[in-house]
Amino acid sequence: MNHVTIAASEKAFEQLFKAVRDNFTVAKSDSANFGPFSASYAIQLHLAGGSIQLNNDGTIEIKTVDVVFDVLKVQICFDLPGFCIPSFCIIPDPWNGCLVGFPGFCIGGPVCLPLDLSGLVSEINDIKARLNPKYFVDPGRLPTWSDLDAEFAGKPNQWQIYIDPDWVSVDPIDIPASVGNMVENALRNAINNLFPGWLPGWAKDLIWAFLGPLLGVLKGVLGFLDSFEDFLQDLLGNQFDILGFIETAVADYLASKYPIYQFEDPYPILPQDGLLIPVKIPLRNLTATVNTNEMIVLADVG
Amino acid sequence: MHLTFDQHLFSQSGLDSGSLTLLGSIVHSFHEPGEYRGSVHKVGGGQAVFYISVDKNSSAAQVNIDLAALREYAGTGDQHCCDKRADNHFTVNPKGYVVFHVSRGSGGFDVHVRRAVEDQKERVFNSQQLEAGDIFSAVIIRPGLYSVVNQLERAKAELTVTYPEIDKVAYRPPAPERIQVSSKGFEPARVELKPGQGLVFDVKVSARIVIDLIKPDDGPTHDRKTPPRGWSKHALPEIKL
Repeated sequence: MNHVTIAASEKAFEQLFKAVRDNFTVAKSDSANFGPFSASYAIQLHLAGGSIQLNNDGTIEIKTVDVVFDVLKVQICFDLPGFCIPSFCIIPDPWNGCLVGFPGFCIGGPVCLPLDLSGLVSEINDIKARLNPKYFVDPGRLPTWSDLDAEFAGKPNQWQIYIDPDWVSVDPIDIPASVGNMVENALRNAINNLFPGWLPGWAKDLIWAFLGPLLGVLKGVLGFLDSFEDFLQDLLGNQFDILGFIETAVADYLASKYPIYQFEDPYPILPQDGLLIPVKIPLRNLTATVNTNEMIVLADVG
Repeated sequence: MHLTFDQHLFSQSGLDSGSLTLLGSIVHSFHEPGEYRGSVHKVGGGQAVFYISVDKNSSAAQVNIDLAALREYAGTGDQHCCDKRADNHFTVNPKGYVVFHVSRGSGGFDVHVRRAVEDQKERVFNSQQLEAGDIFSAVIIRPGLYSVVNQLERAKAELTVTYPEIDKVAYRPPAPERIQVSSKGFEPARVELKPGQGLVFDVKVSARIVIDLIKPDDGPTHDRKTPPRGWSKHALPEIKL
């Protein structure tokens, strides 16, 4: 029989989780070369919403938490194929196609397409976790201090209860179809900006004609078959492994960065009163679990 | 960031087989095996020398000589002077072809070739006077109406390059057109080309082919056909309360 039992209802647990969730934010940026093109990104995100279910087997299920990208900027750079005078045959060879050909040549150059997708939302579709209590000794506490010294210095030891995930699963970033238009406009602007001032109008029209539909140009350069949004989703989610980064960051945060509940050890029973020192009891063998109704924390005094 | 445009590609609308620029090239076959010495002259000065070995044992059916890339030297043309000879030495089969072309810059090159050792004064090839069997190929990208003249025979032809159309598929020029250059003149004497489409002149008589822009075609309007961008205010319907 434990000496101390602390319980928090499911609704109270939800409120505690909201505080944990709302404190989460993470940022990252990276770049990589993928052969025909290079890409870079910068993200910053926070969490919102979600639902919690407490189970009798001691597990906690957290579902449909929004991953809100406050910043999601992507830049894709590549060499524009540009404008090509294609080679052609001058003297045909009846046996082998072409005996003498006009040496064709191309002109082109590097372009970068900045895409600002800030505001997009993904979702943590499932977190399965258990409660994990940890004993925390403030690193600022001196070894010679008594518990009372630590109390007066504001650096008491603590019991901290973390949500310790067994797994975290994040859905792919839902890139809207409109990003296809966005990237076409970005490419159009990039090409227009690259045209030198002296380039005559007929030459611009000829170059646009040679380039054809810009989405086709992107397909050729970036090597995707279907839609640009699918390409971008794969680039961010799989190639840069942003989903894996978010899953790891969330798991690490819940398991060790922000406890869902914490209290001092020794636990204060009576506060300091005049000359009387505070009354505190030390807690040992602390455990934390859940059932369908509540979170239960058990401990011994000693 | 900048596109690597060669301005001359868009500023030089005419072509001259005797003064090669970016969009023209000449094909010549040296039928007799032996060593040949060529010199390249540029309008406004500058000279380069190159050597061609026409060798029965060579497997090269085509050798491209980029006149803009040949290393220039300011010497007297002494064939034995140059340690640069190796850079400008080409080999081709007697049944093969040499293509003189210009890959960059303003061009304006003419080419003269003679035997390297024997009969040094005998010109074997002169790009300013093409002969039967030579080929002049041209690419014209500037839309408009052109005159085509063989300055050595006073023959004339007319050439139209149509304005490019921005379509749902990327534009690719069709196969080149061919024109016979004979004592009867140009055949056909009227040709319509798409921009960037090749034009091949099969020379059967002494020729120097000059193509000049007579009337440029700047398109239906000067407005570019790229889709409009940006926000514009639209009048809202009036609401009666």
